[in-house]
Amino acid sequence: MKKENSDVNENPPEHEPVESPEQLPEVIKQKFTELGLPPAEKAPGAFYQWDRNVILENLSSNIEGLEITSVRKAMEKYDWVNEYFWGLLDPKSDEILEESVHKWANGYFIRVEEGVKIKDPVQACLFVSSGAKQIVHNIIVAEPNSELHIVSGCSTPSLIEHTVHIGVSEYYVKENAKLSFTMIHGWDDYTDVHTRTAVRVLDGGEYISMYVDLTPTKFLQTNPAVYLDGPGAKAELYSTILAQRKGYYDVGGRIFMNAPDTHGTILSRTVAKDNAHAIARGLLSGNAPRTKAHLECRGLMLSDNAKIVAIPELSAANRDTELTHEATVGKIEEEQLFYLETRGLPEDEAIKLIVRGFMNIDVPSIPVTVKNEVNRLLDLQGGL
Amino acid sequence: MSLLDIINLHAGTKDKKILNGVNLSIGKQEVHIILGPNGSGKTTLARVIMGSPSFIVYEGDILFEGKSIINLPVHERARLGLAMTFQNPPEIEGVKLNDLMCATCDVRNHEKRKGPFCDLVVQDYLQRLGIPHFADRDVNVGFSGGEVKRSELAQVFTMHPKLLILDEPDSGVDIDSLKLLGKAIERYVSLHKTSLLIITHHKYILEHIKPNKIHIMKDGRFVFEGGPEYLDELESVGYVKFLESRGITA
Repeated sequence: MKKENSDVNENPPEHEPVESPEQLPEVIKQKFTELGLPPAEKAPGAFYQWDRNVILENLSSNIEGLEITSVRKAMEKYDWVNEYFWGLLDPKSDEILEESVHKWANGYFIRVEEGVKIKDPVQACLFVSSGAKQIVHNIIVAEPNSELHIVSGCSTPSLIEHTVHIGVSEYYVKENAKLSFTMIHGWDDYTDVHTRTAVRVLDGGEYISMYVDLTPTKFLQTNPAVYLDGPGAKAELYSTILAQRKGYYDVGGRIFMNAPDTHGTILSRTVAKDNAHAIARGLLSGNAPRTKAHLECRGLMLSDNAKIVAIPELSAANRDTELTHEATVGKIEEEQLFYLETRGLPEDEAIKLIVRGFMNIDVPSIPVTVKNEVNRLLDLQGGL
Repeated sequence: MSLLDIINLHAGTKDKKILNGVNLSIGKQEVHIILGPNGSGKTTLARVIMGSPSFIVYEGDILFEGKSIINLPVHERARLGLAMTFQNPPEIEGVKLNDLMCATCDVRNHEKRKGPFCDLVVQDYLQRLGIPHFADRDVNVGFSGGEVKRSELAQVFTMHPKLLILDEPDSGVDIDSLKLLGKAIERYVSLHKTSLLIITHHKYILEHIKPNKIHIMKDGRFVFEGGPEYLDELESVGYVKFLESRGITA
């Protein structure tokens, strides 16, 4: 059933916006519930885009200082948005970005004003019709001393047609602001996913990202770049991937410590089964004094036909930078299985428990509700 | 009828025979002690009883309540009522001790008993073993020697086995912990009428648990068997002299 790129529909039918989260189409609600997201009405704010159309946005959300709209509307409203658009990514740097310059439909614009702290997670969901191609360009701005947590779901209904999602994202975390971004992907064997994300963090700011994909995915490429451009800025990138079937998963993260006293952590867990091919990348770049970062890539092989390639990279351009990495790829130890089996668990249950445990990443800095969502998802889909 | 019968058991790895004709019979509510020098095959015997895939049974049989178990998978042996503590259990990252214990609680009647009942049982045993705050810890990750022994006991207790094999429950443990462990075992056994097979080098743990029989293993078989009255002599003179004075050399 493999189809060529030209088979995807770049002009899928239009979709009408809805008035409230309750009116979202059932197919969309159901898909995001499967991904562990709570109903949109429970979030302090939400943005839903279906193919090219924004179907739900809280332009003036109930919370003062939080703005959730589309990038196109934001551009009409504020001149300065143009400086943020392509402010961090260079459209000439690869074909995907170049294509998005001409063909992007819309995307979310989320901004939290100076000093405003929003503890509950805001939702940003992107939904692609089967057989369609979606190109979005997103912008998030966390103004100085603000705090914002976002849960983003991206999905498609599982029908056997070639589908493409391209997500271009530029996030700005200003002085002493904190942004956490939890992205949960739910794809299928026919979907290609390309994300291009860049984040700039200024003085004392903090960016935390958690990426989860436990679904079959035909092709996935994500390798966000975080630029720690202000002194004392911090970044933490976490990911958990269950690579399966014939999927190709190229997942990584890059942290550039360009200002003094900046810190970074990259932590990834990759489980590979069936015939999946997974690449776990990580790049730490220390370019200023008193910078420190650690990278940990761990892979668990469950099949002889799968493949995991861990590519940790450390790049130092300053004498006073400390970069460390730890990469391991292995299988489930026989002793672990025997141990759990002596406690009365059959082999398949013992494997499930070990894999579920392996994928467990404790991210201290995201809200408890988000942690619980991720844990629920891991319970549902991480058990193989 | 005895609980466990081991008949002329020969077993080992693919390349090396370790057990050379072990015979052992354990009745209900009996406590048996296996002693013997390092490398004599004590742990191998325990693992072969549980069905470790690392070993092959060359000859002989193992009966549990009269039925052969040598072809049963490990978890089915556990579900019949066999359990074993590990000397050096593996770390299982990301799996909370509480979750594992709830998944294996009262394993013989698990379907009937899981749920809130198990949460209580788990908390109770962790409390009794002095590690109530370990429920949320990853299994064996960063546990000290003494903590491992406590957690192992708490885990097998919640399973409610009929025969409990303790592989060196006292190694690397300080005197205070030893007392706590000994008392916990004593209390558990008297309450649940569990049979015990204890592999040990010390008699301290036996201050709380009165054995019916001791077995000394050497080169993969029992070379001496008798009552607990031999323990003091054995402790003072050591295996070599103890066996030599009885004309046992190999």
